[in-house]
Parts: sequence; structure tokens; C-alpha cells
Amino acid sequence: MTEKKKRVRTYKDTDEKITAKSLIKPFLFSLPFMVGLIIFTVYPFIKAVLLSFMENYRFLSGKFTGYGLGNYQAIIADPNFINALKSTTKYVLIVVPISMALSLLIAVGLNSVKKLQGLFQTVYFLPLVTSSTAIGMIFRWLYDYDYGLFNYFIGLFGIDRIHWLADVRFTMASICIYGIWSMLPFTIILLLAGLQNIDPVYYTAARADGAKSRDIFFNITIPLLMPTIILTSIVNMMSAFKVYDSLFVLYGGKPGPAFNLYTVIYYLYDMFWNKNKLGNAAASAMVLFVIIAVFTLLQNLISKKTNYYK
Amino acid sequence: MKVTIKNLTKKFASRDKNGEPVIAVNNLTAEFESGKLIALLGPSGCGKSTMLNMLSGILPVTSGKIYFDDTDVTDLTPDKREVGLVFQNYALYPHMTVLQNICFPLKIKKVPKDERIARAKKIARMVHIDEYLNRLPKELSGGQQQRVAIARALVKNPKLLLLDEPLSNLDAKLRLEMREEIRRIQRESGVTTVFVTHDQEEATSISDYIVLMKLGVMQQFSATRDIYNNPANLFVADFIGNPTINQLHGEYTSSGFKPDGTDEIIPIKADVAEGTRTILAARAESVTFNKGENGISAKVNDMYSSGKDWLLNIDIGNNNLRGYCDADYELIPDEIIKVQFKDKGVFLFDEKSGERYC
Amino acid sequence: MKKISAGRIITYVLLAIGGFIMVFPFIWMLISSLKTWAECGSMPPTWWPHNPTLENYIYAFKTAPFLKYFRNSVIVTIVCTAATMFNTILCAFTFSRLKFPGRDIIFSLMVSLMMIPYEMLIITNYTTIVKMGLYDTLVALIIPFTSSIFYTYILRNFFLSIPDSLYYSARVDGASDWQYLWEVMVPIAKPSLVTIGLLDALACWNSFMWSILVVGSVDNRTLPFGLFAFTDQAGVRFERLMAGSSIVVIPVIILFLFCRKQIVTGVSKGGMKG
Repeated sequence: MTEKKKRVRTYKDTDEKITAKSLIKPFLFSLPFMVGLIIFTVYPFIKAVLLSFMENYRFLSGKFTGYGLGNYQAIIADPNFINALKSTTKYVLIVVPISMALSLLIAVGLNSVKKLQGLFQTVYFLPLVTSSTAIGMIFRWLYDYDYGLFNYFIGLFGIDRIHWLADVRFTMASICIYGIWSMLPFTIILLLAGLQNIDPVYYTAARADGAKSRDIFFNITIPLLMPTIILTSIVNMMSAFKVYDSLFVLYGGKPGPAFNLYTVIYYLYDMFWNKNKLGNAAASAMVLFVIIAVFTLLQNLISKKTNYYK
Repeated sequence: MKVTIKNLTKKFASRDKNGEPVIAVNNLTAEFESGKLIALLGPSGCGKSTMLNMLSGILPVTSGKIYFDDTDVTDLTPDKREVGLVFQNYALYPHMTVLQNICFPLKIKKVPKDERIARAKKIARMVHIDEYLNRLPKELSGGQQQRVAIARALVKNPKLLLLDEPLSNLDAKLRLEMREEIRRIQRESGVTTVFVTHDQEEATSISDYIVLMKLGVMQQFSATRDIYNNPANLFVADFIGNPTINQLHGEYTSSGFKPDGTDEIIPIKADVAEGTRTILAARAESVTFNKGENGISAKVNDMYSSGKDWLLNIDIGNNNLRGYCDADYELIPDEIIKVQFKDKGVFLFDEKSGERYC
Repeated sequence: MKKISAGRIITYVLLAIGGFIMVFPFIWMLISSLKTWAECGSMPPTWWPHNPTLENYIYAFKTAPFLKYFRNSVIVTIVCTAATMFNTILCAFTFSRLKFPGRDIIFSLMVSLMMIPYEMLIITNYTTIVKMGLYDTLVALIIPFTSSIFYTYILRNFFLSIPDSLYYSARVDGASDWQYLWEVMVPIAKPSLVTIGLLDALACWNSFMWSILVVGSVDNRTLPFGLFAFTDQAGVRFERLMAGSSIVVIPVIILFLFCRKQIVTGVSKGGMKG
């Protein structure tokens, strides 16, 4: 056979020849997507990575003095950045566990009732679809010092009014309340989906063994839901780490009293937008990227290990 | 339309257990007469589906040519070949009604809507599915889905109709009904039809011609009757026919075939060297029994029914075989009786190669 | 054993209380938006406006061009969602049905891009938009978001679940790849597409930070930005701000009431993949 001499590359499964012509179609089909992806995701990503290592970058001229770790040294030395990291971490550590616990209770409750499921779901999931700008606005109203409902309520218990958004002692608490409230719907949805994935056979078996509701919850529901709980926590940590929009609105674009609401993204925007320090912005973006990447890898690792559901 | 296949070969880049490249179809040459029903038959992995996919254009060929009449279609894509294809799982478009499914090929061809519907309805009547035109595929039974799939394949007047394991998703009773339907529809439409099956009974019951394949190599291509009466080799003889053909191992001698484990000889003439290890294959209906003196001695084991017929299970030397007997045959286990072989339905093959001697 | 257990009743009561807390801010928003300035600023607060008035809405539409914001939001949402869907469908098709060397490797690389936080990209994207001459246009609010790897990922998974035989059938029936995609795949994938479309439309409608960066003039503001800017115009007049918020929120609530199932499915599908 003479065909052996020609070296034609073929697809493994069908032995179809790879020709230039056969590549045109996938190229054209994916072109609109790829153009967008390259211009607005791949290129800016690479640029941001490079930018974070460019020293003394000038925005207007695009000139820089060389590559180095200068930007990273700068942000590490910047008390604002360290402060941002600290307060973001604090926010994550408060909001995520509390909202997880609350969501778990609500999800288990929602999963156990048959009537009014639709109504409850609508009610609980509503905040998920509404604009964070509007929600931020509403919370500003609720937190209002003079006429806000929060102060009215604590007033009923004889507690003095609080400057929720201005008193350094309470700002973290107020954004956490807001954060927990807005994180609930998403978390409940995921946990509910996880709960519905549990085969009812386990419950039947446990009941047959004489287990009570409480035993079932702690010995069956929780362990079987664990993968979902862990994954949801990770996803929530990522999103909590990126908190910004809502604070921006809640504080009318200001970083809160004494910069105590200066989160990592806030820092990024501030460096980029207000201070024009692109190098610092890029370096802080890289820090954010690394944090998110670690969480993502963790998430993938865990979801691979616990893939016994599907 | 006549289909001509010349030296058709399909290699896959994947390797088999021994690290050899898989040759799904090996240098196959055949010619399918116009208007006939041809069965591509063989055990799984024999390359019959690969064959079909090359005929439809789904799979590109490695080498060789396919002609529809005198046109070389080897390099044409499926949409240019004007063939109709019915899949094992029917592959009906789940979001379209029966009518829309049947109309689809015409819609693609931009046939005007009125004509499209008229033609679809005509075909639907032919395959007896016209009552269900507005149903969705999931609301139909397997047999009905199959009819829709055939209608969809036929509506564009294809030059060639291809059916991939058309009956294997149906239950036993429906299978019998549908295979006759396929025969009827094929006769009525007169379209050259190739269908793939692993079931020899299905193939022999409705096809005009059979291509029998094994490991990518065509074993025999002949009219359906011939393949039973005149198998090309041991594999064909063994694969075709129910009950399976009897096989006696033994040696060829100058006076005939000597089965292992006995000194008696079955008279048979073949052009083989004396002492060659051979297999004598005999159809169950070619084995006759008598309690007299004529023939070779055999020991009776048992007798059992296969539907309307009764089979007698006997041993000749070390070989076990079965033959038809009367229902009122008086069974005496371990009785020694005499066995004779008819001329028809008895073949001699080489033990190793399966090559046929006579 | 058919009687309602105490546990069940407690569950319902607790769920009702929780549910009330979840929707309360929205109810309060609506109630406040119907109050007069005097009533809104009264202590203790009134739970229902004495004289419900639409004055705040009228003010919002008059003072700030909320109608224009609304129109912009609708345009951006529709165009952006349509473009995203188009790109997503084509790309998902490319990476599920078409064949080319390295297809799966390229796709997993794309999937790994999902972990880039969006905020990391704004620095350069802002510059790109300015360089393209798109600063302060509605286009600037659309084009950076039309290539969603996440939606492509979901749709590709769905496309991969459609049996090959359907494709080959269509090919034999005379359909080209393009026809197969639009005549067979897209109709079959409709539920997935609806979910993706809804999620994308919501994201477009609510998108805020990016618009602050690339939109300068009042004429090109979308609702969330408009609402944010409204603080300057309305001052600390919460009844007016609540009216503005209602304008932004009500369309989405209506959408949610009708399409809750698809949205919830989409969120739970997407949640696990970040």
C-alpha cells in the first residue's frame, strides 16, 4: 500500500483526515465568541499580570522602568491594603458561617414542607434577582439614624439609637447583617438542591431502624449533605471575598468611616480609578486572583472527590 | 439504484488488544443490485455498522470506492448522497411532531409547504402511521417510532435506504411484525435497501441478498437461499441456520470421513489429501435416523422439542449432533441406532482454516 | 396518624417568619415609596401610608430621566442577552459537535479562565473601551460581556447529551451543520437556553460597577447607575429613593414571579461551578 508514505494527520476516533478546510467551520462558528473572549478576558488578564510586575508604569505614556516586584512591595507596605485584606477576611469569616447555618435550617425546613413550597421559594429567593444597587439603597434607609427601622426596633427595647453606617464600632456589624441577608437565597438554593439529591431510601431505612428526626438530621442528612455544604461554603467565601458593589452603594461610594470598610476590591478600584496607581491596582488584583484560584482548585478537588452523587 | 463497492477499507487509529490498528472493514468488494433488500450480517464487531456508515457518508473511507450507479460518491458528505437512514434508536427529532419529523428532509430541501405535507402524508399512509401525525415521538410506541423513522427516510425518495439494526429495540412479537413490514414497505417503494443485523434469522427471513462479515472481512455475499445451502466456509455454515449446524471433527480417509472416537466411516467424496483433519458439518434436517442396518452407529442421548419439531440428540464417537425426528419417536436412552446423511446440507471443511472442501 | 404534628406547625411558623424577614425590605421599600415626606420622616413609623401617593414616582421620572434609564436598561439587557446567547450557542456547538484537533484541551483552558475575578480585567478593559472610542456609549455596556464561558459550559454539556444519531440523521436528511444547529439542537435545548437567557438578562439588568466606569453622561445611564446618581438629586429623601428603587426592582420581581423555576434551576446548576 502506497498510502503509508503520505503523512496525513487524522482524528483518532473516525480516522477522518484533518484538512485545512475542515478547520474553517469551527473557526468561523466560534469566531464571535473567541474575539470577545480574547479582547475582554484573555488579553486583559495577561495585561494585568504583566502590569502587576511593571515598575513605575505611566498610564498615559504606557512607559515603565522595568519588571520587578515593586508593586507588590508597595501594596504590602501600604497599610490600606493590609487593612483591606484584614477587613475582607473578617467579613468573610463572619458572614459565611452564619449564613451557612441559617441557610441550612431554612433549607431543611423548606425541604420538609410540601404545601406553600412555591410561595416560600419565591419569598426566600427574591433578593437573589434584585439589583444590589436597589438593595443597598433600601438598607441605607433601614439603617438611617433618625428614621430607620433598625433604630426604631432597638428603641423599642430601650436601646439608644446607633449610627449604623457611621459609628466605627458598628459598621462591620451592619455590613455583616446586610451580607448575611443577601447571601441567604443563593446558599439556600444550593443546599436545597443538595437535600433533594439525597435518596429518600436512607430516611426510610433510618425510620425503620427507629431513628428520631433529630438523629436522622445529624446522622444522615448532615453527613450526606457535607459535600454540598463544603462546596457551597467555598463558593460563598469567594463571592464574599469580592464584596464591593453593595458596600459601594451602602456608603454612597465612600470607603466608610476610618477606611474600615476598605475591602480588597475597594482598594483595587480606588488605586485604579481615584489614585491612578495602575501597578498597585494590578498587584492587588493578582492577590485576589491567587486567593480565588486557591479556592477554585480546592473546590474542584473536593467536588471530584465527592462526586458519588452523579 | 445499483450500489458498487470496490476494495472498501476502513482503518481506525485506535488499536486492538494486540496493538494492531483496528481494520473495521477490510478490502470489501460487492455489488448490490437495484431494488433489492440486502442484509449486512455478522456478529458484533464485524464491521457491518461501519460499512453502513460509510454508505451513508457518516464515516469517511480509508481507501476504496463507493459508486451509486455510475457516480462516485466516496467523498460526498451525507447530505449530498440522497440516502435515507434509520437508526437503531430511530433518532426522531424529539421536539417535532410526526408530521414535522417526516417533513424535515423536504423542509431542508426547500420543497414548498403544501407539497411537503402532501408527500409526507402519502408516505405516512404507506407505513401506516397516518393516524398519529400530530403526536410527538415520545407519545408513540417503539414500533410506531420505527415507522416514522422509515417514513422520514423514504419521504425524500432516496436512492438508497439504510437501516441500522432496525429491529433490535423492539420486543420479540413486534420484531416479527416489523420485519415483514420492512419487507412490504421495501417492495412497495422499490428502493434499494441495505440493513444491518446481527440476527441471522432476521436476515434470512426478509433479505434478497446477504453480506456476511467477520472481523471486517466479507465471508460470503450471495442470494439468501444460497448462503444457507451453499456456505463458503465453516464460519458461514455455523453462523447461518437454526438450529446451529452440526459439526463432527474427524479425519478424511480414502473412503470418506472418519469421525473421532469411532472406526466407522461416513461416505463423502472430496478433493482432499488423506489424513487431513476436517470437520463434517450437517444441517439438522440432513441427518436421518433408522433403527436398521444402514449408516453409521450412534448412541441416543435425549430428545427435545423446538416448537413444532422434535430434535434427537445423539453421539457419534466423540461428537455430539442433533437431527429432526418424528414427534412419536420412541426414545430409549443409550440405544445404538444408525445415522445417515443426505447429500444436501452436508459439507466438509478444513478443521483449521474452515475452508470448504465439498 | 393523619393529624398535623406540632413539629410541622413550628416549621411553618419559622419559615413564615424567615420569609417575612427576607421580603420585608422590599415591602418596606414599596410602602415608603408611597408615603409623603412628612410621613416618611415620622417616628414611630407608620406601617401603611395614610395618604398613598405616587408623587415620589412622578418626581423620580421628572427630576431624573428614569424613563431614559429604563429605556437604556431595556436596550442593553435585550441586546446583550441576545448577543450572548448567539455567541454561546455557536461556541457550545463548536466545542461539542464540530471536530478539530485539540478541541477538548482548548475548552478546558477556557473553563479554567472562569476563575479569573472580573475585577482583575476592568483595568485593561476600561482602556480598551476608551481606545475603541466606545467610552460613554451603550455599546460599552454590552460588548465586554457577550462571551460567557460559564453559559457556554452549561450549554455545551447539554449539547453533548444529545445523541449523535440525531446529528447523523439530520445530516443524512440533507441538513448542513448550520441547519442542524438551528433546526434541531437549539429547539431541543430550549429549556437550557431559557435558563441561561434569564440569568444573563438579570445580570445585565442589575449590572452596576462597570457602567459607572464607562458611562459618563446622563443620557447613557442604565437604571442601577441612574438610581445611584439619584441620591445626589433626591438628597436624603428616602421616600423618593425608595420610589427610584422600586422602578429598578419591580420589573425583575415580575420576571421572577413568572420564571422562578428556570431561574432557580439555573442558579443551582451554576452555583457549583462558580
